[in-house]
Amino acid sequence: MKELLVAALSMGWGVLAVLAGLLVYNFTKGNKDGAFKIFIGMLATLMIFMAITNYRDNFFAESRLLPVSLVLITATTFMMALYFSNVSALLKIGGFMFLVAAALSGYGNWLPQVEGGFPPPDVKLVFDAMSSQQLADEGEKIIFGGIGQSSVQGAIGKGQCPLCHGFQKGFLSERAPNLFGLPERAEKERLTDPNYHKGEPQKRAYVDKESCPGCGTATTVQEYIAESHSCPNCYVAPGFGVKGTNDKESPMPKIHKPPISLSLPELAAVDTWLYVREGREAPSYEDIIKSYEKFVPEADRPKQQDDKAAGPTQLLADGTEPVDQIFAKGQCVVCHTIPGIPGATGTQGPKLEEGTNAPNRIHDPAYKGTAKNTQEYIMESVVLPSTYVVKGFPDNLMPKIFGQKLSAGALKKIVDYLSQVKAGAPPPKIS
Amino acid sequence: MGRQNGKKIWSIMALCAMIGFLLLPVATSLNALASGGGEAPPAPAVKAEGEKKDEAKVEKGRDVYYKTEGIVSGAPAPKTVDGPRDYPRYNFESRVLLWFANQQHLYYGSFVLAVPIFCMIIEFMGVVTKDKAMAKKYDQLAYDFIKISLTAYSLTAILGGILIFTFLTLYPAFFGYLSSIFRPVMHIYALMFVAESGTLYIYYYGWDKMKEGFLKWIHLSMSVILNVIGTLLMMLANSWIGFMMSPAGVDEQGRFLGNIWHVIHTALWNPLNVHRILGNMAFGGGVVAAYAAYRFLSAKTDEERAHYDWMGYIAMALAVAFLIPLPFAGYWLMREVYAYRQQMGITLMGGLLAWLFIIQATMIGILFLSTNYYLWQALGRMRGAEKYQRYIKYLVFVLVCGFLIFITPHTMVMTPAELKAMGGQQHPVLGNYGVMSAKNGGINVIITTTVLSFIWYMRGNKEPMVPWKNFGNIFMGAFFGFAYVNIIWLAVYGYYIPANVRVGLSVPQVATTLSCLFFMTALNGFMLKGAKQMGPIEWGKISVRSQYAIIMLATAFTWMMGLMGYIRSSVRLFWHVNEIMRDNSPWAYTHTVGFAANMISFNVLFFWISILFVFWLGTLGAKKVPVNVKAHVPGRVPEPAHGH
Amino acid sequence: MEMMIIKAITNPIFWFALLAFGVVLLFVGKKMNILNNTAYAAMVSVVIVVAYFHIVDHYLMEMQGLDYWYLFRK
Repeated sequence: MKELLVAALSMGWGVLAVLAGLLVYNFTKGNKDGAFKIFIGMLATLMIFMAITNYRDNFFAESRLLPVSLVLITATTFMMALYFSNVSALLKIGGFMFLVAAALSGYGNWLPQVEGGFPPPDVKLVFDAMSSQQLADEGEKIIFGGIGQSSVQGAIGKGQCPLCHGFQKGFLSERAPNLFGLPERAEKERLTDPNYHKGEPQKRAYVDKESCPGCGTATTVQEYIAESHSCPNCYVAPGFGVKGTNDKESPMPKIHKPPISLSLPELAAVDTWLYVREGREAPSYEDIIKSYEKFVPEADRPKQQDDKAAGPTQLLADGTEPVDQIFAKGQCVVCHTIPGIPGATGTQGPKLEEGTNAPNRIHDPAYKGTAKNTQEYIMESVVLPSTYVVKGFPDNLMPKIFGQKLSAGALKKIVDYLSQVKAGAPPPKIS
Repeated sequence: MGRQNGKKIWSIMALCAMIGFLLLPVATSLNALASGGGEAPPAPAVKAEGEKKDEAKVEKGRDVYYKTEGIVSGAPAPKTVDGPRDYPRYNFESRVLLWFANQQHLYYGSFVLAVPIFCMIIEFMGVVTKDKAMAKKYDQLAYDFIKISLTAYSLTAILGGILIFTFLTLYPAFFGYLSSIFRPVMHIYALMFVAESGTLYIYYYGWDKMKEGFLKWIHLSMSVILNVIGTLLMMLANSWIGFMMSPAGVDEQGRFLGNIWHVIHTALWNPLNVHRILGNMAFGGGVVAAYAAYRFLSAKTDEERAHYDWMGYIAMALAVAFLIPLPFAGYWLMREVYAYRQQMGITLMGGLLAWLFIIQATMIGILFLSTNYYLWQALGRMRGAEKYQRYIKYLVFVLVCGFLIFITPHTMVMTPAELKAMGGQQHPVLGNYGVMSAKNGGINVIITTTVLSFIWYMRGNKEPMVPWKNFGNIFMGAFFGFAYVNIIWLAVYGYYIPANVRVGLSVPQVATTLSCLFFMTALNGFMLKGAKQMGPIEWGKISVRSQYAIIMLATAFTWMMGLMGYIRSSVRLFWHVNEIMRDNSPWAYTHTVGFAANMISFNVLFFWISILFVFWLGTLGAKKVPVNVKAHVPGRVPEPAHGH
Repeated sequence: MEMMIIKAITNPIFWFALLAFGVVLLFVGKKMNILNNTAYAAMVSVVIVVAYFHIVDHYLMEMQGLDYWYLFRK
């Protein structure tokens, strides 16, 4: 208290001296009323300076005396309002407003203080200026989520390729061809395959004849890769078609279209990696882009995105999407048929009528899992697919990454939806 | 008679002049609009067609939002670098200076846009009221309103000038880009401003000349035109912030594509417009109510007190009336934000800015508490209202419970020691109240209680005389009782069902509250038809404390407006124009909650000090008491002439 | 038996019927001049209000594609 008084005096002595002079002047003139008012004014000034010094000295201190300043200032205005009757309403209102605003300020300061850091540096990737090794590194990031991740099982990036494709020699790859040795194979096997009908797209027996009207077929290895990305249905490697279509239709989505939507430069990076990691020399960036421009009409080329989709957590779905999008983003639709979900017509995994199936599975003597009810069974099957493998379907086909790659909210939506799907009943509403 | 006709002709001419004013900017800009906003060379519309065929030089771009193709007709957004060229500065944070200039301009702008709307409503009430004395009172009140706004109007213009200078001197690159995109719109804006002032002056100075008969209707239609211009002005200004948040009409590099309507009509433009109009009205009501409170507190005579008590009541009622639909407009805006960029929505509600919404929740609670407090105090000016006063303590209890649940946060940032002491992110007991289900229950209980307070206030000095009054009372009691039961039941029920079903529960909860608001006020109105008056409303007999409730409300409105404006603006994070033009100044980061709160408080206090000064100036100018008050004691309901 | 009751109360028709019943009671009360009788008025009010709020809850949830009776049907 004493220090505060001293500090206030040392700060406001000038103003106080002027007021004291006025006081003496009024007093000698016999203006008692005026003198009294100035005395009150001096008192108020002192209080305000005390409030200010308290604020100055204790702002970063532990004592938390700041509200004292607030009360002092408010009290001062009300005290002055008592004596300065012509502006009393203004003083009172001002003091009260100050109290309200300052209290709200205090509340804001009391809450946990989070400062939004500086924005990430503007790393707009300039693919066309990269060396082929840099380009290949970017490609590895897109496919696997990080440099050096290509040898880690389950690593996956925004391209989501490893969901279906194997990339290393001997890695399991039953849903889609293992891409090890692709550049060589493309040249020696694919382009020469009579079913490929090189140069004669109209003779093709596949669902799509050409990537775009007049696009024609690939003539080089790079064009073959580009065509496979932009038009998976133009040629299907034997044994990898959608079940029941006699390999006429591919389960692979068009990579430049949603949900994956890689831009042409990104695709160029991916392709460069495919060559570079086998020690081959990759075609130049311009050539790769040219090969894609042959198969992807300008209107269909996605713009290059900042790495938004692959945020810090690298989730496939964060649970805020409607459930049909979660199924699409998780690529579930490629292998499973899910009633009520558009496009979910896959046949490599069982049809997901879990409202009917799950109770039977739990009671199957072969069931060794821990689920007690439908919801738990679905959760277990998504997160730990090998716990129970439905008869007639291979084990280890379904990736074991969904526990990490889907948020809890997304998993919950999946469970909620699938548990309501019953055989022979209309599908539940999408939420 | 001839003089009368002459007046009519003059007034119609005035009206036509005003409409001319209004159309002038549109007419002058038509040419510019047709030619793609005046960006392209002379007669480009035709020429561009020809060029496209002749040379392949014409570059085309794709609209970032509408996905349409357009001819590139503007420079790309500048890539700024930190330095004196793009970000010249004083030895101070430029962003804070801009923040201050912007906020002050917005406060005054909202005020002068809102007051003419009140004027229009009140003048209209005056014209249609049968009671002559009441009509005169309303008319005088409307005139008082416009008088207040007139001084504020010139201040708005001055602050607008300061704002532009601040932009030009501190953010030249950004402002240059924005004005290159909005060039025609900015000129229309300036012309509209001329139209607005012209109309306002004719409206204000013609008040006495045009107060009777046919001329009054002309005068009233002038207020409509005034408000049309004002609203258009605000919508144009909104198009700029809409563009900054959700750009459209430009390609990825920010090059203008020739369609100015796309630039104006961005994804968030309309939700912002609706939200802003409602917000301005609530805010304007708050300011006028504070003016009335100030005049009440400084009043020397009972007549003055009576007049300003009444004025405060009307302004406050208007403010609260516009406050109630505000959350729905906010909900729409939020939904559009999520639809535009999910990430933006998450930053707002669940990320960096989520704490500010906690403050907002507290403020909403405070607003409703002060409204209730005012209504309870207002019971004091009625004879016969004592019957309700002893129940107020129960309402306080209900309100406080609802408020505490409403502001309980779900998770808090804590130190590890605190975390350990509490045994987790959530408090073992209180954590259960922090979830949305309980909070929705809390706020709905608060609003329903406010409705109940309002109904008690309406009934304060009246005794229903309809034959079915007993049934009516019981029905009303049952309705409110079961409304509370339903709200609380839905809140509790939410704990037992999965999240995706739970989120839907808020809709029936809100519907329950709105049912109370609409059905019960209507029923109350029917019951009070021909009711027995226990005594007149004794205007001016209200306690002084109630005026502080009004001031609290006005301050809280102002603060909340500053807060929500800050949230809206900072959600762009480090973008000047979202995803088009980066902010590369040293102030591209987001401030802490505390700093923002201090800044908002400073802005609020500065605004109030300046506007109190304006009020004070107003009292200096007209020291005399409103004359016509003496003739009649004002009342909500026209009363027999024995009032005085 | 329990199933029957749940089936009945989860059906909006039941609540509409109750609402209609309440309105009928209202008119009957008016005809017989017992509407201002406290007990009778309370009964009529409760019937109408309870039915009304259940209809509100049911339909506003259904509008969003959700089931208000989730817990009871389960």
